[in-house]
Amino acid sequence: MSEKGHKVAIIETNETVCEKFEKIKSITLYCGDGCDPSILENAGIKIADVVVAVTGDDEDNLVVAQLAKLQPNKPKVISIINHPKNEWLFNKNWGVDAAESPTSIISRLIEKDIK
Amino acid sequence: MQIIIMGCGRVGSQLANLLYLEDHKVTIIDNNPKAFARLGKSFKGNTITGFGFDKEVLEKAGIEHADAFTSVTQGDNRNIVGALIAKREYRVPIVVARIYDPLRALVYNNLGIATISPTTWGANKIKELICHSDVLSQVSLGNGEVEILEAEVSTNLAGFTSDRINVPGEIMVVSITRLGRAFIPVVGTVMNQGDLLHIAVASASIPQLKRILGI
Repeated sequence: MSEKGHKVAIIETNETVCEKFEKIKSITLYCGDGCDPSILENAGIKIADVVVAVTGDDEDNLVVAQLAKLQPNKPKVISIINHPKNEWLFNKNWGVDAAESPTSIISRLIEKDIK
Repeated sequence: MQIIIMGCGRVGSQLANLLYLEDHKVTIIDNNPKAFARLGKSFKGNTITGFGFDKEVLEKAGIEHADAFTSVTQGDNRNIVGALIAKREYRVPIVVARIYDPLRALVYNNLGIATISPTTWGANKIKELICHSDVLSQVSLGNGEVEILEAEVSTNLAGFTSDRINVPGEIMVVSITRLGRAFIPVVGTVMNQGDLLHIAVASASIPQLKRILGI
């Protein structure tokens, strides 16, 4: 995304992953909990056009979506669904504008291959 | 009331028993079946093993007809999402979430969920216990005409009965907390040094109370 000229900020809790991203100059890195309202504010949630919530925890992704939609700028929220059983929650009612489930993407691809 | 509790930890299990003893219909959900051992043998409410966001699990717990829902798992985010599901998807009238982070508790209050932050509550409570040398107002009733104050029994009052403090229509000891347990004093209850008193007092009589307490 940053190569395409977008201004990108990443929030990550894992310090090892943080160190990896620190070398990339075009990305602003925030090491911390992305569900923490103050960290989201530091990362610029109030001026963001898009918020991408792609942690490995569905509840974390949903919480980020709620916090994003509480902002006056109402950024667009894109997310992933880790557990297919949680799919019913990833919708506009929950502040999620678009969501994909890796499990269903893979099963769709496999189905196509079988045919 | 029909009440659903998500999370059978220390708070969840204790809450389940308290509500069950008051004849509420309690269903408690936890993803670890071993957690239900905390409930003890006297609990005869429903237990459901499963994930708290699972539609099937929630509906099996009777969320469609529940009067109240509370989420008290270890995870703040889990509790928030659980509470939001109860509120948004099932319109449960009373929804309470335990949230450790005080800032987040505030944010979610704005989303229409009653949140309790044990962190803030605990810090305030500990502060009071450290600084209770003077009387502290616990509850202000009406427009402050009557206050419930907290005071420790000092040496000069220890050994006397609690009605020694009472003044009809003005001052009344309503509760004594001794070694962490509170009880209501009767005529003749003797106060021990270190007892924590909760005293209902007409605001105009506070100076008089302070004189009686010797502070």
